[in-house]
Amino acid sequence: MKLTAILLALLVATQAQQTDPKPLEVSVAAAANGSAEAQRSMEDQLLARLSKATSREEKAFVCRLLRRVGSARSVPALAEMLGSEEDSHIARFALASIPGAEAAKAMRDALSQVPEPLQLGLMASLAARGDEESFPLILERLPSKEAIQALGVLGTKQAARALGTLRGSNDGIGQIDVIDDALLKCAESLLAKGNRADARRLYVGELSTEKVLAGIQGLAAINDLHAKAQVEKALAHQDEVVQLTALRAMIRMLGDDAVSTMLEYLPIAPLNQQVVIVDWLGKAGDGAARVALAEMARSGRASLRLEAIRALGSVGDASTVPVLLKLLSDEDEDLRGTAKNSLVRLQGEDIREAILEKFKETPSKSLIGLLAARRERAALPELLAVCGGEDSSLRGDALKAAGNLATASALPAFVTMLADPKMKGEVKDIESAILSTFREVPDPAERAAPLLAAYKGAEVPTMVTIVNLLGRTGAPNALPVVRAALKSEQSALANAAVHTLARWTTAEPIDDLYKIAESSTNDGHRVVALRSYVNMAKGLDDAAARYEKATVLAKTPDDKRLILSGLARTNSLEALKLCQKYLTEPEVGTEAALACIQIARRAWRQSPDEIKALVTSFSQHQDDTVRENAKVTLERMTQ
Amino acid sequence: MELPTPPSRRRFLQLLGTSAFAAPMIVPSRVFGANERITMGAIGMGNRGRNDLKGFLRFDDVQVLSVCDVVPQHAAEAKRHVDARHGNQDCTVTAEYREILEREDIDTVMIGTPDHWHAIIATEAMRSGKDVFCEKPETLTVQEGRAMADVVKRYGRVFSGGSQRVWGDYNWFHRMIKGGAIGDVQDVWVNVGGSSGLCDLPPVAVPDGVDWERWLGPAPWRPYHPSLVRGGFRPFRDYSGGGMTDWGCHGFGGALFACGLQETGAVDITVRRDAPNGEGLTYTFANGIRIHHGGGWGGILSFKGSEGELPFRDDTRRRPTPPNVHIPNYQGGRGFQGDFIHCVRTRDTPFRSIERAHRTASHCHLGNIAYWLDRSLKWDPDKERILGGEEASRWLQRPMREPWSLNAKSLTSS
Repeated sequence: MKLTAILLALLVATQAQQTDPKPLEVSVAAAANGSAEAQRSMEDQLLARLSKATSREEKAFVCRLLRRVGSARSVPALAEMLGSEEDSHIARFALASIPGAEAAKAMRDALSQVPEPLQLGLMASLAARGDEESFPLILERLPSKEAIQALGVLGTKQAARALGTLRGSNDGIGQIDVIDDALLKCAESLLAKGNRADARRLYVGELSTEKVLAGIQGLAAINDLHAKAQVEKALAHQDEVVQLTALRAMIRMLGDDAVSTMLEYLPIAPLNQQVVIVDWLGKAGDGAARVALAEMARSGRASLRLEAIRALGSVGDASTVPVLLKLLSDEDEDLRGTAKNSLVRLQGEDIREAILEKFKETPSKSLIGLLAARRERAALPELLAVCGGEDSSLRGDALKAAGNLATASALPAFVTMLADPKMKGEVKDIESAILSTFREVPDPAERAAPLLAAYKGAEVPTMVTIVNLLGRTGAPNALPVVRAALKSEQSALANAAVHTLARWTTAEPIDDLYKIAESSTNDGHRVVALRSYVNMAKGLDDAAARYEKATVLAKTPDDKRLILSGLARTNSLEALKLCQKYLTEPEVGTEAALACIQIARRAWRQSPDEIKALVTSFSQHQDDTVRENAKVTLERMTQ
Repeated sequence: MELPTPPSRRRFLQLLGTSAFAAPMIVPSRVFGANERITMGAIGMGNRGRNDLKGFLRFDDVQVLSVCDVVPQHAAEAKRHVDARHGNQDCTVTAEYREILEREDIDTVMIGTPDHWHAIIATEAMRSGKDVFCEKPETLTVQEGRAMADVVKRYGRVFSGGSQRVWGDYNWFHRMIKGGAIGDVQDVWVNVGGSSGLCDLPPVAVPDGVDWERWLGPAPWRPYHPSLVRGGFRPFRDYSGGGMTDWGCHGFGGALFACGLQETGAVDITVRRDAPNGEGLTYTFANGIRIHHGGGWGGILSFKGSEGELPFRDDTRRRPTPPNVHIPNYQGGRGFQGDFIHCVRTRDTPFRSIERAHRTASHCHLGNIAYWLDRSLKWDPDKERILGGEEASRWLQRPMREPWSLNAKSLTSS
């Protein structure tokens, strides 16, 4: 024995004595991967433990492990347990997994000795192993349900014969369903072994009604002339599930001939079958179905039309596009929606051209929606024309679609529309389109260029819109324009400039905002600027100094609350100190305490003792929320 | 455009090549017409089961006739939802699922039980003529999945698994990949939880009203513990595959679908002990694609292809998908549960078919086996056999506690 194997065996032997199950399981896994000696050693240890086990739990635990490493050597000990009402199943749990003749023999031997309820599991395990030697023992236990099932699992010709005999006898009455199920399994086993003749006999025998379905499946697998005839009969079965199952089986059996045959059957099939055939023709994707499907899409029962329209999404071509386009204006919402979905799915240059041609000829909301759903960028020029066109009912939809499809080249066109007097009602849509287009223009300066060009000489409302948009570009060269707008005598423009600076994408205008907060006579502007100033300061290197500077501006309680809310979002010790300054102010003391606690949650590791003491001091605060927050925060700190 | 001339019945017989055509214009006894309601029994009414139930109750054409749970409070809560929706008190309550399977007025069964019950109830339901919607993870072992797939095929039943995320949440990836955004997929990272293990919860006395034997069902016996019946069964191997199968059925399901591998399996599952990016396992497929458990850029899914990457980040997922990418998904226009109802009516195959559900769950089970054994595996996805690993093969199935039985051959049988 090699040294490593000896060491592993020793390790395994030691750990098998342990009571904690998880390490022992690890040892079992190691043994299973180890040498034959290690496995044998582990098995010995487990068997020793099993022999001493007195409780049901202990036996169950060891058997679970023997299932992993047990061999023929474990069979006698496990076999002894098979007669115990409590332990039989767990012994079988291990035994059934052990390969080799010994385990099977032990279960066969036990079959005649254990109480009837325990025989069920033994028969199931023997049949699952495919143990043909157990056949006569199982036969003796007919007509029990479990014996019938076991014969089905065995699946031999011999088993099928016994089941057939039982079916025709008085003993089989009342068990027909179970017997038929077992017979079907036998048929499958026989078919798998190439015995088609015996399998067929079983499939077309006296099956109970529900089992007709199974017969269809089996016959479809056999798929000869006789099988086809049987399945065809089922097309007219009283049960719709049987009918449709037969139809699908027939389609499979027909193979390459299925499309042509189903196209001929389609007009004479009952409606429920027509729906299934049309659905299948769509999935089959054979262009031969196109004409029939287009015809069905035009008129007839709504359920069938829907399926046909859906199928055209798979098999349609340019010739069927007009049918589908016409359906886009159908009064039935379902038909309209399905036609649109089908048109979205159809691909190819000729399809695109047919749709675009129609759009040029008669633009409509439904066509705009279709172009957007198909993401037809080729339609952008036509869409832009509709955006700036005379039909105001289409402009909004066209702008949305064009915005979503737009490339960088469309940006100047959208900006020009901002100044178009007839489009005053669509300014919001134009703004959205421009913002969508920004996605396609990564360079901020390029985003800003057409806006800056249009700004000069624009009317005030347009300037307001442009200033708003400039704030979304993030372009440094846009900032001077916005700063200039701050000084405008037009209040709308100045107002827009303040808000634009407040949501600037970088911290560049932070000093402009400070000035507004410091000197503006407009309270609204002052509040917006101060809030943005505090937000922008977060993350800057000189954040602490800026917070301190901000506190100078806080005159009113509302200002102070604003500053505190900004400070609370930081994890800075300097911010914490600033908050503490407000703790004694009666109007904002509670907010200051809450801000301190919020900062403490993030920053306490920077100065644990000091911050813990501060938060502890809030445990006696007069405000319930402060006390509760302090308690939760202290708990987190001590975890 | 003209329709082809309708064929005579005789012509149709010739087309089929048979001689016994029966008149199709009949009135079926069981009709799923547009206005007919699909009736449903709902089994397993814990949190997840009740969520699924509420999903089906949104549909006017679904009527829930009965609910079942071994915990009386769960069943009572479910009945309250059903009765409120239908405006009556007709929904029956039972702790015995077979009462639902025996009812001829119930067309479909929804299963929301713990995982170790899925296969037993699903196969029995399908044998009883019901179509089945089963919450994920649909199976506890590879053998269960194959047995369920066999029953679906045998009886022509409609079966839908219950992962709403494979398409609903991850379709952006599918569209991007099919649209060629990253070229050929090479690597996928799936971040889901780990495997389950031994249950070492202490024994607790069974409270009144809880049928513990029934909750355990086919699983090996162990003493009662309250967290197990309250949804805390997932970490334990007797009842679940852990996070590996729970979210794995979503995440790996998404990865397999995106790569077109949803109906096959890996050929090699390698345990990665010191992977630089934290991968625990790497699954390699016959076409060379690798799917990793763990690693990547964070998020549940991330992809790397020959021409780019798709990490699971919100800013990336705002990228528009390529136009005109159509991927067959749910039918019927009402999400994944509506897909099931549509297929019940048309006898078509739902998006989360049994084969996809089984293959996805098997992918997760094989990962678990590799973790449990702490060693790499070779897998034959066609024959569904582990190559060269008798100890590993033992995990492909588990004997059930009597009187429960899957009535299926073991995957290691001769």
